[in-house]
Amino acid sequence: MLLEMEELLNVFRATAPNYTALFGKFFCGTFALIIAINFNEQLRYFRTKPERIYGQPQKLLGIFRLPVLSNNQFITAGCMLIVSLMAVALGIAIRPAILVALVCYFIYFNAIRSLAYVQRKTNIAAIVLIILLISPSISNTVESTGTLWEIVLIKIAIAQMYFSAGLHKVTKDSKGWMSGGVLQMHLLENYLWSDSRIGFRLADNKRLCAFLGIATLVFELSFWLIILFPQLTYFYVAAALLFHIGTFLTMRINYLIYLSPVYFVFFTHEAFDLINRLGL
Amino acid sequence: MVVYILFFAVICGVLTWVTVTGKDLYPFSSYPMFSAGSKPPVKVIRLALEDRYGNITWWRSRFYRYPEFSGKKLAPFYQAGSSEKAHPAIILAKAKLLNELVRLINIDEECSDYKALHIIERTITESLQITERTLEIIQIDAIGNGRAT
Repeated sequence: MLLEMEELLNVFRATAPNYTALFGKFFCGTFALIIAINFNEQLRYFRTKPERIYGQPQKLLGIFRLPVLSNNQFITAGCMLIVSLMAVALGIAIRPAILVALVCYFIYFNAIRSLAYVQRKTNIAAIVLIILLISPSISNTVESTGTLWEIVLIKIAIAQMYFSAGLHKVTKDSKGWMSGGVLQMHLLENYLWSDSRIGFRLADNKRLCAFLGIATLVFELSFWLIILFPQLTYFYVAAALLFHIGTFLTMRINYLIYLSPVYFVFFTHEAFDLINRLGL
Repeated sequence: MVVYILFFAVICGVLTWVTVTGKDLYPFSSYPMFSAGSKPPVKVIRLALEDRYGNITWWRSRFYRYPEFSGKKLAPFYQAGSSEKAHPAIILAKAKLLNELVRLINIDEECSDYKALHIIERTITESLQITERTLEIIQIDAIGNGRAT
């Protein structure tokens, strides 16, 4: 259903259940857990001095050069990031904790941005933290009422990620994507690097590559419909899951690690109802 | 409420800007990866390690894409017909990169016992024929002594 102007303004009024607070707790809790699980590996990677091979990472907003960290500073930033995210999840000093988490996010992930499963894959987490920091509902209890614009904005940020990727594909080589040629070349290149048999077998089937190329374009360019038509949520989330599992298995591109907590935004309604039903 | 509407509009504006211009404004990105593909045949430079018994294995770093990115950085040094190959600045840049590679390989626990680095060009055609050509075999000691060119 298309949102009318009045309905659009309603998302800025605190009339709905506080989905933002529930999402914030879940997102920060799982994000903290994921960072904690990967911390040792990321510390080892940091100690290899990746900037010597990859060069300096991007500037924040294209303006600010982020600090180069020592070993102890990296560990401190990681620990502070985990602790502050856990504080948000537990409802302790929520807004200051988000601010600390956001600062530590940039310091910590900037140092290991060249790591294959980090790169742009954590960007959306930073955008979510920025939105939560400004949110008027985040520091209220889950039982109170809240605004909905945060949830809508996070969904827009996710949709932009797919739409922009699809737009790049269409503008750079739409014919190549529709014919399966581009996908085939990426799969073959990946095979040369990794000897991945599954990608090689897929590349051997040009028709399947063409089908998957078109399916990728349709999926990425139409994902934004999920915002206007919430009834499509299950369909698109399932498609996204298949898409990311597929790119992981065939091309070693792992978006699932850091995108999973953000995807909870599509299920806050269901989680809220479930919590109420269980009386938690 | 006005503040939140403005904030909402600013975030949407930045997301639209990066999408339309195709530029990155970290953490906002246009996600351009993998949008275009190369034409066949696909060529990559891959690194292999030779141990003291003469066994040669691909360098598979614990840190995932190091061998891949290093191969991409090495590729220009082996481009056919490159007239700048012998330029001192190029030689120095290559030696520096090789030194970094040896440092990384030494960090990798699994790759501790080796004597040479093989730089191999792997090519695959559209008909899925794979060929491998050794471009250079570099003795690790030579890199350590700064003699690799």
